[in-house]
Amino acid sequence: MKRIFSLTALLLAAAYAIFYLNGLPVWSEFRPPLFDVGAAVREKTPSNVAANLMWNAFDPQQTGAWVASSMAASVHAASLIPLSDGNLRAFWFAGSREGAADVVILSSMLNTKTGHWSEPTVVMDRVTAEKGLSRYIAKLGNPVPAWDTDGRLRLFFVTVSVGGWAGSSISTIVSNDEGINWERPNRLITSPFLNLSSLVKSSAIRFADGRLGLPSYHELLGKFGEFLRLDAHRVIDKRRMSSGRTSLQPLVFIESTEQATAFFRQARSIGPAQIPISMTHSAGYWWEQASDLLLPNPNSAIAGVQLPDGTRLLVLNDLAVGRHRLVLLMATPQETRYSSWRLISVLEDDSKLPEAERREFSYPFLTVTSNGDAHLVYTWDRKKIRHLQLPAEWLKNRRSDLSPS
Amino acid sequence: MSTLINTITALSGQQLLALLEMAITCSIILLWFSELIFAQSFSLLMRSLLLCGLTGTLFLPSEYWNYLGAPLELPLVAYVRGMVGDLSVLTLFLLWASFFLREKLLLPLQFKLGLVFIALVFYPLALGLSMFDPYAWGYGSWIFLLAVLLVALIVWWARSYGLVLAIALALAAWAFQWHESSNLWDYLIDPFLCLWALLSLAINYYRPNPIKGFTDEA
Repeated sequence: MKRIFSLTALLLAAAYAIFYLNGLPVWSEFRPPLFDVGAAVREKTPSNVAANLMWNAFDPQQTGAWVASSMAASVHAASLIPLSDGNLRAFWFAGSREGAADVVILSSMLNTKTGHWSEPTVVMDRVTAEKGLSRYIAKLGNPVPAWDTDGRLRLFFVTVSVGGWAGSSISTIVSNDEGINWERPNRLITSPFLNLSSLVKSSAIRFADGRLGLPSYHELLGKFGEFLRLDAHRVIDKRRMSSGRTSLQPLVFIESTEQATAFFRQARSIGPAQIPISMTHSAGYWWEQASDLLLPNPNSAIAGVQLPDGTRLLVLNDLAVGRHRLVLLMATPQETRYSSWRLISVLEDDSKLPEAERREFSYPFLTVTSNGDAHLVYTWDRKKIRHLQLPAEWLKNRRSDLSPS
Repeated sequence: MSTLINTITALSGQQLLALLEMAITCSIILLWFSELIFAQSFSLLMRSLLLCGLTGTLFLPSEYWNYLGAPLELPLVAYVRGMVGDLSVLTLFLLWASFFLREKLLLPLQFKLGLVFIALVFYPLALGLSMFDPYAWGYGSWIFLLAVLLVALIVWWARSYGLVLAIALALAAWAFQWHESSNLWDYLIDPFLCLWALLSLAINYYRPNPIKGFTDEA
């Protein structure tokens, strides 16, 4: 009797499992970036000398604004997303110190016409997170927004129940009104070991089928990147981007429907303090580690974005040690296939100050709006979040300076 | 009572069931410890009553604890869940079955050995030892599903019908996405099950008259 009953149960379960597996979406190609590569060529010749002189003298700090100041003793990990009306919404965490129980995730909206940031509102606090997730949460961190398949605004953030950031898991909430109200949080399950140690820092990418690919990273025993394929709040696949104890916070640049490159924050205890690289030729299904990008990285976060004409921007601390200097770099696809990164602007620099007086400029996050302007937010000495607007015209002007005449 | 109703209605179905699972599991473990400490085996009726009482206490909304002066923000069981997450269906089945059936499940030695071997290979690889990640199989690999079914058939052929039922439940729970995880591995094993298998093997090895069970006809 037991023999027949157990076999029947197994066959029934197998049928359900096969039915479920058959219904899972297959891996998809990347949604290709919409490049207008010809634009860069067309704009090589200066058409307006006065405008060029103006943009040559332009300093991005002229557009600088404080997104958050005097809100809390410690602010960090800001991120940005363009909204449907052309405005921008920023997210960051704030509290008495990083990892404190009073840390909340805040949000503010930039009216791009007036340049005014709205009063910050609390998107998520620790108690709301733990009640929504039905489990104890000790601290919150790293909010990263993305537009989901169904057009709703989704926010990924990190929660920790025990220990430090190595004990993190990723949770997500979704908003029907572009960030004003949020639904109950859900947990992403990404690790077999008590779901420990998955974090997020960089923007998600989109697959051709509309689903999101979320670059994440692990930092418990190893320090490596992982690429999550999501269906709403569920992980439907996960691929390893790097291994060992070398790399964190993957930043993905899509090149075509199959190809992409990931830049990492280096986390080596021994070895060159340069940016580790991984590449995929299978739309993120398989990744292989490549030679480092020969740019210094002091184990600090990097930000990047691809402009509509294919030009790439990077913002990072171009130091071997410290986070007291923040620079903007640019690479173009036409001449060098992104192999040559050129310094465009020094955004912050305390190098000349004595070491004790140097401030920290870290955790940059870049996004680009439909008019081609790039927007940058970063942590300013852990006290404030700084926002810089990098106008499309200025970026074009800087790019034309890079091109061989 | 209204606090209790509000708490339960505020939970989604999946979260409610996950908390209930964890509360029952914690209660079973606490009851086993009490039986061990008092050197006394409770009757089935007493076990059931105590289990209900303990589960209810663990599930009690934080507001009740606040009245008593304990500054809790969640039911007690949510703190445990915060630490350990959701246990695998296989663990739940084996734990609950051995409690309610009041019999020691004599699981095959090969099962425990296999579990320890899988854990020793699987966890280091899943935690980043190389670019190879077997955990990714659990999201939707036909080969992995067929391998699990093959193992289940071997277990059935070895007449471990309880274990076959446990694997069947794990597969069905995965197919219905019972827990938050979409990964089949999370329904089959967890670190606590592997640790139990390791300790059980060690105890069997060092005990003067080890139980060498190969079937669980119970």
